[in-house]
Amino acid sequence: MMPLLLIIPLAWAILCILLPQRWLSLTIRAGLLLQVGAALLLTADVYVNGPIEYALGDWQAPLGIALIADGVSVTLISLSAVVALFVAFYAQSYLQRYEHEQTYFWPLFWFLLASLNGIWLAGDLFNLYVGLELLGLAAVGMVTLTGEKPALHAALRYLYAALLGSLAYLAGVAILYGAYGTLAIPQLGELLDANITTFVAIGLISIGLLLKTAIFPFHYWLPPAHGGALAPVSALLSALVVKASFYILARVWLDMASEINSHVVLYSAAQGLGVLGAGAILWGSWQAYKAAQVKMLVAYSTVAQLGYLMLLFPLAIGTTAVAAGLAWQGAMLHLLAHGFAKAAMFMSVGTLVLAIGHGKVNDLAGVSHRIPISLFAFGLSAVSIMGLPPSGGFNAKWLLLQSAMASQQWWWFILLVVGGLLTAAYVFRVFRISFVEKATHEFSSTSSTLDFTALALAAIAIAMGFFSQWPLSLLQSSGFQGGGL
Amino acid sequence: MIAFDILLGLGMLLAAAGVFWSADLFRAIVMFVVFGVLLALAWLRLQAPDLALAEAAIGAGLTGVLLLDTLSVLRAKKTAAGKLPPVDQQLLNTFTSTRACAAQNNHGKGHENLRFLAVGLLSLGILIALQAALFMRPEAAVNLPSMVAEGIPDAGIEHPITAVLLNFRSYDTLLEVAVLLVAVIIGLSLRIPSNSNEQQAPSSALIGARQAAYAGVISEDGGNDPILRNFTQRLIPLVLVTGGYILWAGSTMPGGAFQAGALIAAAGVIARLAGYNIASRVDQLLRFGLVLGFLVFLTVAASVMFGGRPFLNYPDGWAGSLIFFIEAMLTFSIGLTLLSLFVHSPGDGAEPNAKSSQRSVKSGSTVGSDNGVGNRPPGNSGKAEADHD
Repeated sequence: MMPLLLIIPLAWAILCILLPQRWLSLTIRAGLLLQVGAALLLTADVYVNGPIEYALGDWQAPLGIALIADGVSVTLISLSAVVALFVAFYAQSYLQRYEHEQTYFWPLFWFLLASLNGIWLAGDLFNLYVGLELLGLAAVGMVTLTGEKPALHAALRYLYAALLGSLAYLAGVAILYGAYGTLAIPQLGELLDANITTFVAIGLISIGLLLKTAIFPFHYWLPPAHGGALAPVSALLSALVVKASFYILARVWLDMASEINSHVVLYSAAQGLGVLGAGAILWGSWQAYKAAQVKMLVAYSTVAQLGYLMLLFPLAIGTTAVAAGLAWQGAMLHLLAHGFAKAAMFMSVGTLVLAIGHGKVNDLAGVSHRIPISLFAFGLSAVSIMGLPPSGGFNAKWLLLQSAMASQQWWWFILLVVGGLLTAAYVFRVFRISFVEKATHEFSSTSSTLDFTALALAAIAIAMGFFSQWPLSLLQSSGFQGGGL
Repeated sequence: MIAFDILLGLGMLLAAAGVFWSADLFRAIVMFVVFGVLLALAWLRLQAPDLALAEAAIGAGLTGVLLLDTLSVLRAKKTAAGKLPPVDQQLLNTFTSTRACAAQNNHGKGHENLRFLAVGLLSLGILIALQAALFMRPEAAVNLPSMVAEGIPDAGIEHPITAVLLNFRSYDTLLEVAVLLVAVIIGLSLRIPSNSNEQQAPSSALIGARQAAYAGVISEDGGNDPILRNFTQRLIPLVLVTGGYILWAGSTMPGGAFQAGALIAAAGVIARLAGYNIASRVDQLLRFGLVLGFLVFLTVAASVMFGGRPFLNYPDGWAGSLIFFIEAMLTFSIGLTLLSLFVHSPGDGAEPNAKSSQRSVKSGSTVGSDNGVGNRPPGNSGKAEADHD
């Protein structure tokens, strides 16, 4: 089952390059359904039988490369399959007015999905590098699609940040290989020793991944790239792409280096990562509050929300098993809820921008009358992002708060509360204007597909408030939570 | 040999410094190519001939050509800049002469020094950390090279590097080929469709200016030069044969698809610069050629699963011939990919500004009409929408 999750998107990427335009629509839908089916089957398999390892080409790691599916990876595979499904339906409708762009969007879309699945399943550090390269390049390509000058400028900055991040990551991996002679993550986890070589390697890997995840102060490339791209592209980038490098970071710190990460050097570094997260939450929310363009507001909101993920490290490293478990669950739940909610938010905002012709926040007046469903989708996703109950975002922040109390780190508790208030401030700025009755603008009508795909994703983010135990039990079945495998 | 190594190291440092401190971009690119050649020599001294070949062909050769190509576009734009809006001119200036711009900003000078100091300190810190990490590293507990040596009899190929790339870790190579494919897709997406007959005035001026700049930068009016033509006619078969040999040699000694593909691309680039128009304008055929290597690789890798074997496995006894077949197809596609990146670079035929202005007009009219989606051309693209609603 595991290789299918790579073969399907790669094969559909080829199909989308070769097939004539008129066959594409149906082909893409068939591929999406197959993809979701494969993801669900693998998830069920892991839920019943526990983690699975797959030796590619029948060569056992460390000589060959192994794919590893545990609770965490199948949760993320399901996330990307579902988000990709709705984004793809949205994109089929949205891209009809972009004829040139859609020829190139679909191959990149499938390559992006293949690289994401590859990263979620990877059990090898160098293979993760290749996956990151594919992911980064496909994402940059999607930002350039419109060919407009600001988009090209943003894409170039994105490319430089991604390349620099890859370079730092690769240097760290090379050092680890030189010191331990293997690239397989489970084997490295057993071998890693607290010495200067390991610290330098983990440092380089972490800096590279922070740059790719756009964690404050390395976030500079994200807002123009995510804010300037086409709406379906922004949704994919914010919901999935930045999560991939965070996932690797979490794997490296909590899985591979779990034996040594309570060493004083790594323990203090983990607190440092938390401080970066705090910076991201405060700075990102403030910039989102000030943003003049609504898409930039959502993009800066991503910068802020990524900060919460960073709290995983200070809450899970060097604390009690209970606190670490709660932190791990909270962070993963936040990743999922933010994935669904942010995709929905970018999609609904994309529809609003399409309808009023441009993206100034102050011109959203009258939207509540004319495009109520998209605004409702925006509202639902905002509930989850603010962390109001009932929503996946609320449960995630609740778990993080509990973890902060359990480990008696009251400063992170305060940060979580302040962060929630700041989020409410920038979200209500949009609402205040959009509920003004009198429209200052002409509206062009938009397809209802655009409305309902966004609404579906937002509804999932809310529903996670009721069904959080499903992903959480799946996560627990992998046994990977803070303490290590 | 130590003296040679020291000279090589110093030469690389000087070349790198030359890249950063050249006031002229053309000189910086030349220094970059020199750096690539020296780096290839360094790999050779470190007994990594495969890397040396790849670095010489791709790092120094093709990247250098791509950079020169970019420079010629930028210069052509600058020549035609009189016809561009002022914002573009500003952008061009920052691209073509960063140093000149920095010099103009006198009050930013102190700022510049401070930044220089910060970057220097950061680099020094990274250097010290890297040195410490390398010199104090523990003895490796796992010996992969010996495992590779043990696995070679089952790998179906003698050369250990090729065995790692196309058998033990063929998954990495599959994804790397996908990376190349993504790169060329992006390259193609940024070019103007060749059948667009709405050539705008500034862009045609740009083409002319660009060809003039070409003549100055790369070739001396290649199309009409009999010596160049004769030389090219003799050189290209030689390069192609060498490429074939390197592909063939890959199974027993340093060589393989990437290096051979780079040579094929080099032959194409030479032909192009000499004025032969070998670029396939048949889009569908070009796409198929680009995809071919990846398609064959994926098909072989996935089809063995019907026989109950794992993904990317080779059936017993078939490994050697399948690997060679995949490599041959990859060579062709990699060559075509690298050549396409050169031939279809953005700005070839027309430049992106014209495109974006055309676009914005189009989207503007779309939004302006009261039925937002009604303004697209009838036919195939309309069908999906109808299905949806």
